[in-house]
Amino acid sequence: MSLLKVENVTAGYGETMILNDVSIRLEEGEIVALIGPNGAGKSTLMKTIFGLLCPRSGRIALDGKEITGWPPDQIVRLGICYVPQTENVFPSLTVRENLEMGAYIRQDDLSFRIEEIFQIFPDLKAFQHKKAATLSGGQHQMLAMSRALMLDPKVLLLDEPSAGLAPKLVELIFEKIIHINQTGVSILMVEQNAKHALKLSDRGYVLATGRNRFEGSGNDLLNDPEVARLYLGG
Amino acid sequence: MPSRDPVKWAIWGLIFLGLAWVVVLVPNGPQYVINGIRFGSLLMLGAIGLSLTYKILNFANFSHGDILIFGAYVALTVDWLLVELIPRWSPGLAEVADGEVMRWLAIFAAMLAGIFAAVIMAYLIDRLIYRRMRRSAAVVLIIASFGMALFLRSLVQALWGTGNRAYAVRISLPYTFDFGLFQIKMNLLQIVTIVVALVLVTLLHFFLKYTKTGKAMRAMADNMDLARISGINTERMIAWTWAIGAGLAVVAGVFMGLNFGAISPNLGALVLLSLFAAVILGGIGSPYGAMLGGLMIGLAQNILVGPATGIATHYQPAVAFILMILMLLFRPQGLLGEAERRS
Repeated sequence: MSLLKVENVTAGYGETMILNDVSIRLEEGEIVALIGPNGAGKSTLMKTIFGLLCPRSGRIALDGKEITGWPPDQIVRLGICYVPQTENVFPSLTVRENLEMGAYIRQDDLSFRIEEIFQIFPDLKAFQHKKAATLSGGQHQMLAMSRALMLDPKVLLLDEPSAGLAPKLVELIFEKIIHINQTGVSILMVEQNAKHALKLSDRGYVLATGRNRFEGSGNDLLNDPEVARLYLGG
Repeated sequence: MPSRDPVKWAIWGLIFLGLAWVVVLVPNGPQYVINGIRFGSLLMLGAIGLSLTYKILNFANFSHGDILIFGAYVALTVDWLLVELIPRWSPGLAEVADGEVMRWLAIFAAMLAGIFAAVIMAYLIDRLIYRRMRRSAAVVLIIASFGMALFLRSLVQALWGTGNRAYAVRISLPYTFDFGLFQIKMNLLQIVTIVVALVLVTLLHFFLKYTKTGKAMRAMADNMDLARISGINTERMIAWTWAIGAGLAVVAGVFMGLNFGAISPNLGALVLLSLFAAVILGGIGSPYGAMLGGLMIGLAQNILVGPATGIATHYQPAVAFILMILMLLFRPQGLLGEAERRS
């Protein structure tokens, strides 16, 4: 049984359907990359999984439990967390408050978990009482991931974790993603940086105009001449 | 960079120059400042709710002033009942300090009842009306809130009549505080007004800064979707927003009734305009901006017209609008607001 399963999902805004009959799955322990051109519906798929958008048809199941149409604040209780592409931190809250909000549903003391997060992302510790709006691009992205990790989720959805970062930071973020995956978190990520993402992924999906186009292991997709020509820039 | 914002510093400079001018050069100036702080602290309490609903629910709530007056009228009835009933329950209490203690107890108990009624009313209106429009355009909600404003005002007129009504509190003679160079006259009511406002604003600050619910409210004001995916129950936070806004508004309403000598059903709509001016002056969407803006409008209305400048006090409401228009022209984001960033 797959950890996360999206079956034949059609979804969109109003009358416009962005996703048409999309199916993907994420197995325990995997990193899966979703790639494809702009406007392919990658981010929409993430939002739909997390209940920010209600699918017109199809079903979404987490750990065998159907979550189609659930509100986000219920879905997050099942051990799945989500980092949106933009506006993924609370700018007027401090770094520490952002982390506290990430674990809002927990009632107990969070300081131990916050210390663990600071061990993964040591840069954040010095800034913990600064407002998130004052962080640099790299720190911002680390905080966004940290907020989502506060609940120690089984599944992490990452929407373009490397977007807008300098090459050195992209490298660092991908290292962190591998590290997080090794601690037992299964990861589904959308990436513009397709080659890089496929290299570290177990499997990948190519999405185009809201449909599944290709599916395969990271290496197979990297070596597929058609995928390369269409989506990896030759 | 906030420190390199010339318009902002020019405004602060004008404010301090104005205050210095009144205190030092105007005869009886400190008294006008105190009057301004007294009225400003009421506007401050009223403006907070307007600012919170704007920031969190994304619309300008035109029924806020009428929620304020609805609660003030409920308090009026409870106050009247208590002043009738307390002497029967406890004749001794009714005689302490010539009944003054009893009257103050009655007004505070009545205020709590008014807060309770207004919070329930605001919550019900949200559940029945605004909740269906969470994803609607702001203009739809503004029109809906107009409708609710008319509904509430008519309800008040139907239940309590259209005339002026007064609370059963007696205004004691003013104490004179002598600071050598200048003297300030304040009665107990004026002191209580300022102290209550300051205490409530301080409590709100600690609530927003240190409690989990307060932090979640700020998080939601920043980003509703991110709050939802963090597991924050946004509907519960919205209920909190209404409760805080309506509760503080009723405190403002009751103290306006006490300070002005009476309340009337139209007072809410009249005050609403000053509240909007306060919210815009301070920076729309920031509760601290609303506090500052309320204080500034109160000060300006008591300093820029009246004996200090020789302009008739009828122009008091105009002062609020002139300031609001100037602010919208020169610094639309307000004193504490940040420029809107388009990403």
